[in-house]
Amino acid sequence: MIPLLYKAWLETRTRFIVGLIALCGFSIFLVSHYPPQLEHLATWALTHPAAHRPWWFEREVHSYRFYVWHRQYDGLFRDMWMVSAVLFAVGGLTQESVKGSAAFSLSLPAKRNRFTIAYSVVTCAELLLLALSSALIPLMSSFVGESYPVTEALSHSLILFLGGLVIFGFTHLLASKLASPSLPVIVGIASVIILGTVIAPFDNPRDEPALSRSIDLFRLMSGPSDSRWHTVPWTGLLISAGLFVLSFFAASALINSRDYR
Amino acid sequence: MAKREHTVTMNTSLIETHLLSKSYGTFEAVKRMSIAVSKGSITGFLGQNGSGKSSTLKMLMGAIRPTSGSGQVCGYSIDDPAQSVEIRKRAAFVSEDKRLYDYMTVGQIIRFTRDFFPDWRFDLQQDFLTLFPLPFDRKIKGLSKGKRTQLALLLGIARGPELLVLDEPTEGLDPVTIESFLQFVLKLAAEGVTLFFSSHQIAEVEQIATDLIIIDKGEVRLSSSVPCLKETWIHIRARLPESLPLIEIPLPAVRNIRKDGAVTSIYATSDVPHIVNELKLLGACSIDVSPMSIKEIFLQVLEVSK
Repeated sequence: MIPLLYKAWLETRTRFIVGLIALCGFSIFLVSHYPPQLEHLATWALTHPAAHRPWWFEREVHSYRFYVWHRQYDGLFRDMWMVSAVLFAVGGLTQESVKGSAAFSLSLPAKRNRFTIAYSVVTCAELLLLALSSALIPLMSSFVGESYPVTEALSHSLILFLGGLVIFGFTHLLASKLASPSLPVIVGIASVIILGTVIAPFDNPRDEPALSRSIDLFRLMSGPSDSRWHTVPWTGLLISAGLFVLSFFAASALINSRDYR
Repeated sequence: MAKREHTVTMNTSLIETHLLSKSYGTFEAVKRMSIAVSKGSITGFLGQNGSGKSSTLKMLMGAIRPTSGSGQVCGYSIDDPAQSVEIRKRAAFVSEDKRLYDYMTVGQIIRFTRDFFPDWRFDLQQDFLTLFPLPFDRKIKGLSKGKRTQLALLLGIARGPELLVLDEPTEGLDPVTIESFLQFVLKLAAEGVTLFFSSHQIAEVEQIATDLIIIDKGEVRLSSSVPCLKETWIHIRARLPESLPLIEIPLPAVRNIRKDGAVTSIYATSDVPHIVNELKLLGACSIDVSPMSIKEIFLQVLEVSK
């Protein structure tokens, strides 16, 4: 198993390093951008006293924790992580058959599901590390005179990771079925976009109907703005993890029964 | 573990198939194929493009599943995933498509492959690398086609297999490298390694094969040892009067007759004295009898099968 884990690491490390740099870069930018953002909001409020203010406006001005949640975990950091989950999921024996190396892999004395397990373990670990990269925020916050609890960052990272596992599982299932490097990415990204813009297009959580909220993957991954034990969406996270496990078994079954010509 | 769970067939064949078939949709790539490859032999596996060679080899090595029929390699069943792993511990397969992991260096993929084989033959690795040097630090995607082929062959050979299954092993290699490789393979065979290989280079097959299997349209057309073929497949050249039209010799052993000016070529399997008598009666002034080359046998087998 160790050689296959090593192989999966070598296969995915460039994607991982690029993703890590992008997400760390975003976290650093977010923290360093807080003072100018406050100033910008204050100026806007003065120059547009009668204008309609978005739902997050007051909370972002008064709470650094809310600013971080809204811009990071409910914002671009989450979206970048989702794209990473889709890109990382495209791998395994079916994708190797596109590149032509599947025949070599299948000549090795290892069961096919070992390849699937090794790839999933390594990429999930990488995605977890990408999510945990937001732990930079507590470290960086003192530079702008603010503080952010490490536990808050860690719990949000884990919510993001567990909630997003379903995206990884779904795309990996597609990548195990479709012998094309681009089609699983296109379908995966398109599914995420449709989910975010058609099925659950609500920006303010308070506007969202209960039915939409129950299937709003974006909301699930964002978690609550104040992360506490009782506010964590445990049911949604368990369902996401369960769907990931189902996708994993379905992908394994597909790969085990497939002919690699 | 898997070895304890099944009965290993101990016989002199390392590969045995019985009515093995493979269909892709309505297309039958391999049809009821029954072959045997003896231990210690060098068996050439010949056929035209699309005749089912690669499908057969991939079925033997577990990359594709048979539609029906059965097969055993090194005594293990080819259609059981657990036993297929046991096969791949003992038999090395180098496929026609020799693309490897582009993201690894030569050194990394050697170390990676080595980790699967406790009996990795460092001596063979060294011998092979002496003949065909490879740049350890270079990424595989930076290698030429020939170097990639050499690397794929090294990764198969150095496993120390009892059976080496090669699909078009010399494709992309230059003539000098091919010659060195064939000598290397003969050395392996002398050590007892059984070799089963497909090739379109009939000269290579002629040079090293001890046994031959010819398939066409997924069906076995011929399976025999090379000495036996050389004994029974005969090419008779006779100089007959030019005025004589293309002759007919109504003997079952005669497979084909061709006329090129005064020279008539008869391709036959045995019954040489009768054929020579017939030719003498027809007024042949010179008769030359020689064994057919593998190329001639291959062409004759395919011509008749058409």
